[in-house]
Amino acid sequence: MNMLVSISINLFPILMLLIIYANNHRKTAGTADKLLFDVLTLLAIGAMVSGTAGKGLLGVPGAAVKAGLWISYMVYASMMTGIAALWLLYICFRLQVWGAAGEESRTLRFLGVLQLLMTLLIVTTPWTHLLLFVTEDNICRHGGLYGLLYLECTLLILAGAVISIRKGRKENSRERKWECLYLSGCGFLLLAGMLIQYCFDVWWGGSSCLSLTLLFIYLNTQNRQITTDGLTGLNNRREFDKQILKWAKQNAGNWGMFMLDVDDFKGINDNLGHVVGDEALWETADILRRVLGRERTFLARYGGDEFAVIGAWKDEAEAKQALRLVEQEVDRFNRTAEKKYRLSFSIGYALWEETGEPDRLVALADERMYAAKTAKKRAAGQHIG
Amino acid sequence: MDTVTYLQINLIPMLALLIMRANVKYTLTYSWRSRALRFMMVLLVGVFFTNITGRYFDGGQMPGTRVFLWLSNGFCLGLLAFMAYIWYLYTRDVAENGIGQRGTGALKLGIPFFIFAALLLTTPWTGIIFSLDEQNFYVRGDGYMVYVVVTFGYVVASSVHALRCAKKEEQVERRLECKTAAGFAILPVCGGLLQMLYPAVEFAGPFTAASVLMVYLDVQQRQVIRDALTGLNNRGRLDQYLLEMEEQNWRGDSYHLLLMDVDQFKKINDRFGHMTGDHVLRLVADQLKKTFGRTSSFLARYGGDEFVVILKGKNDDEVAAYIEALRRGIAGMNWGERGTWNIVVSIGCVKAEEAADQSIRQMLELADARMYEDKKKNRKK
Repeated sequence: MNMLVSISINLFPILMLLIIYANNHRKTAGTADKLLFDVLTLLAIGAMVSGTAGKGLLGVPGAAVKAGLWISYMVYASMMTGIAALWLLYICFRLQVWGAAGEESRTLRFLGVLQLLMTLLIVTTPWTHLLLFVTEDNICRHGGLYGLLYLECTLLILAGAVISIRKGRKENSRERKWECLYLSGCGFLLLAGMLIQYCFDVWWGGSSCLSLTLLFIYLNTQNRQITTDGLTGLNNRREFDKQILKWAKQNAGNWGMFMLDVDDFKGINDNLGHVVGDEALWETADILRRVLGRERTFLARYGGDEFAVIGAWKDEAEAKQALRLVEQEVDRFNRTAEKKYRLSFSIGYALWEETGEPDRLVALADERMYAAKTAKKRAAGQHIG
Repeated sequence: MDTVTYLQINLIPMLALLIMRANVKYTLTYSWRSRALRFMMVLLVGVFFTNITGRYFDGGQMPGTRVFLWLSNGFCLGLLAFMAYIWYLYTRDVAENGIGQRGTGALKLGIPFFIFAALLLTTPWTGIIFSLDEQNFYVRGDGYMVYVVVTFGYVVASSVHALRCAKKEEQVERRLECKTAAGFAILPVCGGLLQMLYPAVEFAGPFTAASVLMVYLDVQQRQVIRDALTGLNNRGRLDQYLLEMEEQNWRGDSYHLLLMDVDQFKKINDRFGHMTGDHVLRLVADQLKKTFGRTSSFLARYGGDEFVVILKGKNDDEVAAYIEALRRGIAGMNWGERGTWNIVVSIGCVKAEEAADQSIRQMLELADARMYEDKKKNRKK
């Protein structure tokens, strides 16, 4: 009867994780966080299968069952510590928190030693009975150090949450801030699950919260891929089209947008190669993030070498102020960064009150951008002439 | 099994479905299909919910329990049958690449469901689908098989229809999409069968929820690799595809890589505006689909106004014929300003053997160089 109960409960989470694993594994881009997510999913499946077996076999008489119980509980415990350690690593890799050169290897070494100690504790537990032990009638009892297992996992996951919150404070774009907050929230969900499981034996809090967390994270990474531009990390065109309609609907007051074009981008591409061209686009995006990221704005790559910014500017003066800030930052970039190219932008702005319609707003900003560009070209021509 | 167990069995899929539903709204563009998908998720949440309440109060003796149980069990069966019907419509729409299943056509397809619904409505008086005994315990009725046949029937019929459509499709990717849509029925059918064999374990619900998850992740994956403007594969997918090909060393087949861009696209943009520019890109992409749709080729938008086509297993003459057909198609495009401006594409074509170590970078560089030569030639004309 126990077996039926535990299979029934864990069937859906296991199926869900298998599907997520298959979907994630199919993608070939072999980044560290994708790989870690793969392993994390597999460990979660392992933990659920061994947990199902362990709970299902409880109280069934027989020597073979006893061995099975020992094995499944040991596997379950090692999966648990493994998941906690990998979770911390996943957060570190995904948010790229490593600053100094030695930090990464130090964290890895620390986690490695910790895992080694925990594994030692788990492997020796049939003789020492420190973590748990199986009684004569095949019931599982907690040992003296049982709490240590939970404590270790809790601390690791808590550390992950703290790291992501601290990282979130340093980030200067709103999307990145959200991501950090999101990951720390996921950590707290895991902790809640563990707490439930620790306090109430009949509730499978740990595995259910873990599976839901992994679903959250998988959907979130997918969302990110759909809405952001892979090269610059800004929002993509699709998201811009959606956002501008949203701003038009929701904003009662005035707001506006910039259309920004990198001057002579084709020249950079043709003369210095595509790699440098891509880098120039990335630098442009970074300049926009630095200057405008913290305000209430929406940054997007509109196409090729064009960028679009939506912002809550009340009037022309505010929009022009933002424009000046961008230009100052570009000047600073050209002076300090030692690159083979110089960046300069042609920017056109348009305010909502001027048009009152999303399509016309974009068209107006576009027009003014071209006007700025031709004015610049003419000035350059006169200068040479 | 006790209450806590039932709660847990149904609560996790319920939460997962609600998470998915919120996500659909956030990432998928508004269409009949995304609405149908969301609706299916809601229906399934309803099934899980009524399943919990139905089991929880089963055999309860409080006043009003009897009415409540009639409602819970009735809704549980009715919602699942309704979901099977929507599932059928959804799969049909994917298989036929439609823009939504509406109107009398969709209603006609619902006749089996409506018959079942009528039976279900009369069940409190006739006891045909299920009934409650003296102690308020759930008992299956004589006509319970109607429920099984209707739900299974819809799921199986949707697979059969999708497979039939897959045979007719000409594009490789569309064929695959139809086959995938057909495959999604495997899990619910297995779940249903297992449930009949082992009534003690909950199979049907979890398996169905899992297959909804599969459908959704598949739709989302398509969004990830698709270029929003043209509907071709996007740059990310192209990079991945090329990497896979390189790892497999191009597997001995003959491969051609075509790199093309629209001549003076920037000027089209400047002169006629971005909206027209986007329209031209879409039309060019349509021509690519038309020309290469029947072959096993890979079409992608490389960036801005550049496209890449990878052709498999064709000889040089055939490729030349395809290029010619493409140029003709593009010259004949009707884009509004046809009289004042001729849209021309420059194409660079490379065979895999031509690049010294068959590396992607070399192939792309070679194709790029040839494209520029072609561009010069076009300009002279």
